[in-house]
Amino acid sequence: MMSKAFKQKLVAYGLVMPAFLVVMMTVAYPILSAVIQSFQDEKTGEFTLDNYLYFFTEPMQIRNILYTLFVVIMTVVIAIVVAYLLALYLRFVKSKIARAIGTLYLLPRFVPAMCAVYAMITIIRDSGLINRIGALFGLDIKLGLMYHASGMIVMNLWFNIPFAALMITAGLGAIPDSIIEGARDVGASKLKTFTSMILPLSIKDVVVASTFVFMSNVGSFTTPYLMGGNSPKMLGIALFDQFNKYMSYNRSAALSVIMFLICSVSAGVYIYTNLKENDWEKQ
Amino acid sequence: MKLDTSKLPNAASVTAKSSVTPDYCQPYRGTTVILAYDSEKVPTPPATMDELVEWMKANPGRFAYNTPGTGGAGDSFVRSSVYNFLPEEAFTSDDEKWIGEWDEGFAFLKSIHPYMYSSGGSIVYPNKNQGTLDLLNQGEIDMCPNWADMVLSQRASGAIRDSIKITQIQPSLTGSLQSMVIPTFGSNEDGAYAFMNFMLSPEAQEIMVRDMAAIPLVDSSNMDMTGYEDLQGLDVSNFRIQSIGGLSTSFNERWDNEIGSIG
Repeated sequence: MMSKAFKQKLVAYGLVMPAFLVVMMTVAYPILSAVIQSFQDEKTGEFTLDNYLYFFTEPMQIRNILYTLFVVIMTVVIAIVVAYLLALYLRFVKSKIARAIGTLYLLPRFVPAMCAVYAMITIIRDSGLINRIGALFGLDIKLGLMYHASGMIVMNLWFNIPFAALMITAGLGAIPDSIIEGARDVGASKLKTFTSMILPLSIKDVVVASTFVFMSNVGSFTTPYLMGGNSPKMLGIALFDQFNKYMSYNRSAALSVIMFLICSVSAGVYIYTNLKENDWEKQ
Repeated sequence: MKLDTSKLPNAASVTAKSSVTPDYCQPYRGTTVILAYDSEKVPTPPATMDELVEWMKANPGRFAYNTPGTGGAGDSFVRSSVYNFLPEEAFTSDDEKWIGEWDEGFAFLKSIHPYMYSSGGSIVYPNKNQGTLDLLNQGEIDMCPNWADMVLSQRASGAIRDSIKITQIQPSLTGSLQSMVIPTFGSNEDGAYAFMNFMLSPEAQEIMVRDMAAIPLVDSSNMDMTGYEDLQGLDVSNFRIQSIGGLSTSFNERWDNEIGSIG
């Protein structure tokens, strides 16, 4: 006869098991096998570091890594600054326009990525909407954004500003009006209120939003595939080349691990920020 | 299984033969990579590769081909360009000895590189066949290699402008025949023959012209080719076939490293 506690344990494990197995088979196992593969020689299967060395010695691949970091960091910085300003506006300005923007700014999140990319291309390409409007006034506006880092950054902003603003707005919303009123009452200027009250209280959300934007852009594919140039390439495209075009599966695995490590720096920042308690919260 | 041509009476009017295992494959349609051009901007398109190069040099930035590995049109253009310098037999061989002979062709591709489409200050090879076709349709370029069926069916549906026409250059860009086969493990052999025979009838060939801008393999003089007149100029019998097998991965990698990276 099984004890009651044992039965309860059995039920608990039984409930967890399906989810556990799915995660093991679709996440843990592929990661493990990719890591192993990344250290194997393509032909002999013997241990080698060549797959990694390739990405850190081949000038084109080094350029790809630096280029990806450039595009991603620019995206993070611009998206966060714009999103922070937007969030501040939405938090502290009470007007019909602010309320309307507050409802509308999330719309881009509901447009499928592919449609959004094509819509953006139609507008910014050298023969696009902006060029055609310019033509009405006898101007030949060629933005040169297509197949260029700047165009990709513009597209990334469309995806990431609403997302970052959503996170930061939630953070700012949690700051009670009383704190701000208190600061104002003791004579703090607007700037002082911002730098010593609002900014410190929302910086954690800013960091968290940054890490999310960073991670989601390191491996982006659709935007660079349709809007990026031939060289240098974003890592998502470089990975596609290794896997689909050259069929070097071991190098693909190594590049995947490299991308994983780049993201994990950001994940580390995220976890650190979440674990670190603010000084005044420690009691 | 080996085909019994007595069960395919309509096959008698098809002269095109598959380049591999012709006893087993029955070609039913063809398509080829051609030069798509905007007839408003280019009234007399080039007829040879040399004329095309002259045209590129006279009109810098108005030609583009898509990145090889992302679409057959770009593949065909770069491979034809390189293999124009090699003996004919090389184009259907996957023997690694030909890799050593590519230098002249890649030097040629490098020499035309500065005259390609550019955006944002650098030369750009768009991804996918549709990438160059979009540029052509938007008027950002005047000419690009593309698939005949793709261009004509999009033109017929109104997706691209009517002024976009197709032409073939000499030596020609590569094409292919699509074939039907009967598997040995099938259960209805007579049905398969009946279907294949139907696909070779003038009636079915006309449906394929309308629905997929296929190049008919039977006499098209009695067919209604309205909207697809361009197809009549393309003769499947002188299709240039390419099959370099596994060499294509090294080919694409070399293109990415030597041409795509120039910027």
